[in-house]
Amino acid sequence: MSALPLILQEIWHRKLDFLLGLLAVTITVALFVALLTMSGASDRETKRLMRDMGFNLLIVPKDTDMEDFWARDFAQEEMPEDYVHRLAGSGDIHADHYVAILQKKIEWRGRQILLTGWLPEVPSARRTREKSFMGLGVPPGRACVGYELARGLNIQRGDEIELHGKSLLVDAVLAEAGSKDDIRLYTHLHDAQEILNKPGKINMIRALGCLCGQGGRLWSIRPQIAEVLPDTRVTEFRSIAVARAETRRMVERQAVLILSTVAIACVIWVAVLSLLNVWERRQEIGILRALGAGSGKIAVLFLGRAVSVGLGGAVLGFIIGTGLALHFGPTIFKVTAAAIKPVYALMAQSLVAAPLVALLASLLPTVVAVTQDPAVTIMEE
Amino acid sequence: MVRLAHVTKVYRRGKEEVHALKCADLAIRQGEFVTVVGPSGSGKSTLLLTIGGMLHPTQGTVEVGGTDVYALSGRARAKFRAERIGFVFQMFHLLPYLTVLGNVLLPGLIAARKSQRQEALSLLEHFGLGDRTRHKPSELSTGQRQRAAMVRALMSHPALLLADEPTGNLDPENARVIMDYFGEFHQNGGTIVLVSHERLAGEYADRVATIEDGRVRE
Ligand SMILES: Nc1ncnc2c1ncn2[C@@H]1O[C@H](COP(=O)(O)OP(=O)(O)OP(=O)(O)O)[C@@H](O)[C@H]1O
Ligand SMILES: [Mg+2]
Repeated sequence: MSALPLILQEIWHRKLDFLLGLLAVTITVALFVALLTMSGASDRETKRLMRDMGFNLLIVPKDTDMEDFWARDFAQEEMPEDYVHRLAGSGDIHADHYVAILQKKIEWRGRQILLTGWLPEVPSARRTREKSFMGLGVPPGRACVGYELARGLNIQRGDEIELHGKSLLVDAVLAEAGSKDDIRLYTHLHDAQEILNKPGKINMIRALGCLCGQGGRLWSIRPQIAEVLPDTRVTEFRSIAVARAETRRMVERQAVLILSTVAIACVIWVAVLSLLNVWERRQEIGILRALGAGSGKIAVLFLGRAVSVGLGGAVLGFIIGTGLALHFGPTIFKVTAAAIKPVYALMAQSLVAAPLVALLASLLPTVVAVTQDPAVTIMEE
Repeated sequence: MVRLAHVTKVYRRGKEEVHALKCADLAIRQGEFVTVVGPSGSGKSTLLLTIGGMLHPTQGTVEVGGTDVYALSGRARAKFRAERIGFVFQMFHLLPYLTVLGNVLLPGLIAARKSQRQEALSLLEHFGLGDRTRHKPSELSTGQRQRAAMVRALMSHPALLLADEPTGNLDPENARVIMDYFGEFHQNGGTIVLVSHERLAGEYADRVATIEDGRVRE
């Protein structure tokens, strides 16, 4: 028999029951669709960001005590300047810029200053990008002076300064940075090596826009660098890409918890509604039997209703979930609004999953009702 | 047409046992109109549903038209009911969400028969429901409801009509109308088993049997 008209008429007759079931399924599907749409967008955007920007890495000698490093602003240990060339020459790792740095906190004219010897970037294998880096290419014999330092010691552009026996021409006084840069004195790496009496030594390398040959996976860069420079350690600077990946992971972890709770509640909700529906219609089972319907046909009527709830909820849930993702995605996942697009594959998945779950939730009450002695229900008045 | 041999029906609820039918024997010929009269709780509904293949007896056999009803599989028994038996209940048992026409067409839909729309409309007309076909059962009077239920029972051209207190909820006037339709079905060669607690229901019958405490007596 064609059950559809019967199912639809029953649904129309018990609209409220149907709407309640629909609501449960819609909420669940909407939440899943919203989360998956947003996190998919976030994932895509993060990948794109990683591809475009790469990672910013800080490479220091292996034995560096990082606690000490962050407290002092420089690594006590040193490594050969040659490391930066090795890194740049490696075919597996690509970066926009490599900067070899020798940095120490020293005493100068009664002040603590940060002396940073900066080797103008080493040309790397990959030089496709324009030179956007704020890289301070300080030529030998010149210095750039941080804002506070210059102000406190009354240094001006063009002044000649002397630093531990080395005289330097002040190339620039930097604008106020509101950071350690304000007490920094930049020189060419080789000048700093001379001043600090550490020829051929550096104590950190910064690699900006770093990618590895395998396509820019965060976790594969470290081992690759470790291969090229075994006695170093690598730290990632917090890049936008990393921060976003972390936001996503955090939101997802919470969402999984909330979602599974909601999903379980909704399955129970649908099951209870279905139980009530079957209970309300148990006499109908007797009537249908008296009219010659077998268990199979009766089950089709009752389960068909559950499937309709699932299908309706899937469609509505997809629309609402996608709407939610488009609306709230940029705030929750910190992605650009344009990155979030409807994921139509989720529509197909919802259309399969929601009716299936609704069906399973209704299965038990239906089976119980259908296998019950029909005469018993028909005699109940 | 109908033959019950030593039919016993025991309802079990936990440890409690209710013997609704106690070794009931009943034979009904083709074309006969038999009324079974008995007080409330005597087992009338149980008897009727057992005859109709709706309620597995605890013991004994039930034959309808030469077929051992409970020897059939559940599926075959459903088909058998769809083709051979019509039920009319005291509470009408129309599906609330279908129109009168929808209810009447339901047996045909279940049995996957080709559209009986025309036949249904003319039968409804005959039962005085020509202008009520698009109404829901809740919009009908009780007499109209029972007439609709009767049309539904007749749609499969059953050989056997089983009626459980069909006039129990009706006023005398409507009761008479319904009983006239039963008489008509009988006149056309149909077999009827009607159960009632009212002696008066025997009026139309060829034969009246009594049931008391699960035992059938002629
Ligand atoms: N599902 C059931 N479980 C247990 N006992 C039942 C059940 N159905 C009926 N009975 C009992 O079986 C006996 C016969 O019931 P039945 O409904 O056949 O009587 P009846 O003659 O139709 O009564 P009434 O005239 O009130 O409709 C009664 O004692 C009733 O309480
Ligand atoms: Mg009864």
